[in-house]
Amino acid sequence: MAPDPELLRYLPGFTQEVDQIHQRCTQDLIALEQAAPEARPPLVTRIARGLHTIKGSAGTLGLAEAAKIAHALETLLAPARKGGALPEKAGDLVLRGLDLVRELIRDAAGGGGGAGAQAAAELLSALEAPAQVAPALDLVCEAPPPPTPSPAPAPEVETADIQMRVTTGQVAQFLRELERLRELRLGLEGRRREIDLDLSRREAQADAVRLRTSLQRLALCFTRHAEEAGDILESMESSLKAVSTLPIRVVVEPMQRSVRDLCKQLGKEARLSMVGGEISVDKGVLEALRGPLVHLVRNAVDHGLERPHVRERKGKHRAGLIVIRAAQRGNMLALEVSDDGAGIDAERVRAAALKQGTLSAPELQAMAPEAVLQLIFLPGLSTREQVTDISGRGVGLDVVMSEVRRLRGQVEVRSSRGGGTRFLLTLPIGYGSSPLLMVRCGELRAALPSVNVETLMRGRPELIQRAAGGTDLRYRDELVPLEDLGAVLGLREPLPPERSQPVMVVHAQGRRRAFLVDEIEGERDLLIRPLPPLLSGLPHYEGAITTTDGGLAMVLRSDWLVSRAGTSAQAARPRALVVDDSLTARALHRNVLEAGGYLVHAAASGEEALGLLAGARYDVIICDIGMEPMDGLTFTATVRALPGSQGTPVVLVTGQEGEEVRARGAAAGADGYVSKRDCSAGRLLAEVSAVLSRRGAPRRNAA
Amino acid sequence: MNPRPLSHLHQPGADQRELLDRRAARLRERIEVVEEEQTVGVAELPAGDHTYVIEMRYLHAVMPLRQVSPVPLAPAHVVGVVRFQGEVLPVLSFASVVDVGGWRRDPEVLLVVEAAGQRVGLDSEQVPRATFLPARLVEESRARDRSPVMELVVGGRRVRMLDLPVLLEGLRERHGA
Repeated sequence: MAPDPELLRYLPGFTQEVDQIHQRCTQDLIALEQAAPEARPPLVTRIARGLHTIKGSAGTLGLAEAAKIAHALETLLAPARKGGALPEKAGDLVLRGLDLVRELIRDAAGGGGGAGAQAAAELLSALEAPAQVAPALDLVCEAPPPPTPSPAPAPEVETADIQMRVTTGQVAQFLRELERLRELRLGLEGRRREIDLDLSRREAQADAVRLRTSLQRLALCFTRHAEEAGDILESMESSLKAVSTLPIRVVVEPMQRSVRDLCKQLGKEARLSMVGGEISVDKGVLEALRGPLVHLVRNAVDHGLERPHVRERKGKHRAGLIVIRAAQRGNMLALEVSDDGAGIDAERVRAAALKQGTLSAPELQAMAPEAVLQLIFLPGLSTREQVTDISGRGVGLDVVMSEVRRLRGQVEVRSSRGGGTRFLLTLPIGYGSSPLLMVRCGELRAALPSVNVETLMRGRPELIQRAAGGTDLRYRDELVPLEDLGAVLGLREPLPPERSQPVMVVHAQGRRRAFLVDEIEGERDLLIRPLPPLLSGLPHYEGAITTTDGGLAMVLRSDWLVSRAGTSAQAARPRALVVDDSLTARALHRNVLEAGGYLVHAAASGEEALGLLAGARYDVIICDIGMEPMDGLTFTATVRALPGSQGTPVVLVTGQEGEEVRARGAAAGADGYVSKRDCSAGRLLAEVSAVLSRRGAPRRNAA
Repeated sequence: MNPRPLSHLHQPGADQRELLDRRAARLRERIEVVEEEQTVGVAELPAGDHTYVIEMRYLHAVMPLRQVSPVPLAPAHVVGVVRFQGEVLPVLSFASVVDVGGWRRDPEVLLVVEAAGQRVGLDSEQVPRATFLPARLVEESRARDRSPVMELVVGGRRVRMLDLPVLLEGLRERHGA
């Protein structure tokens, strides 16, 4: 019988209801299979109630096949409700039936053409055998039973609530507004600080008393506005979270079924449990996490857990245990997927990596076991010799890694032979601010997730050791590589550690590295904005944040910082220092010079450039003339008097044309001159080359 | 609307009538040409020694180039990032992406453009000038050449037209996620 067209509008709601019943019944059925006999009747009753609800509603809506199946399944369970034994294979039949009912109803809701009718007939036929011992099935559905009110919800089921339909577009709009408000708040705070500064300057001026009073009042206003904006933000954020988040258990609970089915397929036994399932996560994040979690759990059953007899021989319970633990730290979600199986054999991972040609044998041997384990996230790497439909193709963990990285998260693995494996996922929960540590290197401000900063300290000389391979920091009885963050980011040559210079120890992926910075500005709770598509391929950043002055600062990825390769390849390249107060001009010069094989550092002012020259030598300096406060001519003259830099060739670049400018440049000590208009790739490089020749500088030929 | 009769001014002579008729014929011709010639609105801007045009439909905003934050280790054509209407936009060096090595003065203007599903900022030496190009010319060039920069000759003058979807898609393929 085709669904009544008048009743079709109820189908979407019914589909949702069936989804919920399907999920609830599946959990109950899995619990039923593992439960003691005395605990079974209430579970059977709950399953039967769910089936009864489906039968009634499906019949009312004219979905005869679904109603027949629900009725047959209800009948199948009838003896067990009264304390009798559950027919053999009943669990499989009920699960298959529930899947089919859901499929039939979804098909009808989607205007489908009766897909699943054949499968329904086959299932009903299979259900006939138990029906011979059970009461006869009443399959007459022309007059279906009236819909019965849903049974009282079980305690663990979400209570009914007014549900609002909110589109993702509306949420996105809401978020944009939230962001604008957040920026307003930051701006207000910034202005207030400016006023405070202004007031402190004016304090000594007797004639400014009136102005001072006025500014004080204004400052108070700003404070109140900022507080109010903060309140609005918190309120909006809280409301938005309520509609845009779900507890993480909604993704984990359906996995019980996968674990059950997979165990049956593989002849294994396992239990999946969840700790912290109530933690709410943004729906988009949750949806994206579903795939990685399913993969990790299936991996645990297939790769991790031993067969029951093997486990018993090892003194373990015959059923393996897979635990998903969730914990919230600030705006970060820490997820752990662990099993008590055989663990990962690091030697087999080494062998697989060698076979794949990922790394050489000496490189692999030099790696610590914890680092070797991280290789399992490489594409195509599998320790399985047999490829099955579940695993063994080396596809999966790399997808887990890339998906978690896409969510601005990190994955680590820890394992012990015989003791099991733990996958640790750390990622932002979704919307909302994250605790970040703000640091400064030269003129650059950057941020780092606080959760990855283990310690902040002062670089005392007795803690710093220089070795052939670099500099180390003595930290907790171990030597941690110590680097200048400015050099790591390509901003300058590595600066030697200064006494009491701030140091941060960063940890990620089981590794630690220490970084020298110029200043630690402190911790802020800020929202990390995703980078646009053109920049999202950069492995160095998680995103960007809005700073109090309305600008942006980049948020560094901790896992990149601790795992990136060294910068030794840069050592052989000639070095150029670009000095220009225009960011775009610096970018253009950099573009041209890097294409010419130069390693380029840039400074936005003469003062900043002199700071860089104090710590490094450059093969050539390219300098703009029209800068403030120190112009290019003054800068050139200063460089000529600077010990160690007198001989460094300087090429002046300017928008002004004419012999007079050229003569003034030459008088200041410049070696070459090129106008911005003539600064085509060939002309600038040609001028730099000519200047180096005239100076007789040892030219390390660029590309 | 019907033209107002001139009879209330004075009665034209034969010469004047002929002159007026010729003028009217010319005007009719012009109207016919304009109706036939479809045009494309473009923003014209100089870069180095060349003149570039961007189709107006891709241009979202023109604003002062301020508060661009640098992105260390980014590709050389990326000047930095800027905040625009709650979004993080990459700011690209116009001269670098179109391979113009030189420039007359430091860019002070930001053009916000959107194409191929991406919104980006491009630096510019000056506020672009709005003008029109014959659509036929643009279509012919596009059919001939699907490179990011097409060269057109308009009234004897060479202009370079940016095919922004091609340009941005190419950049994303090379540098995006």
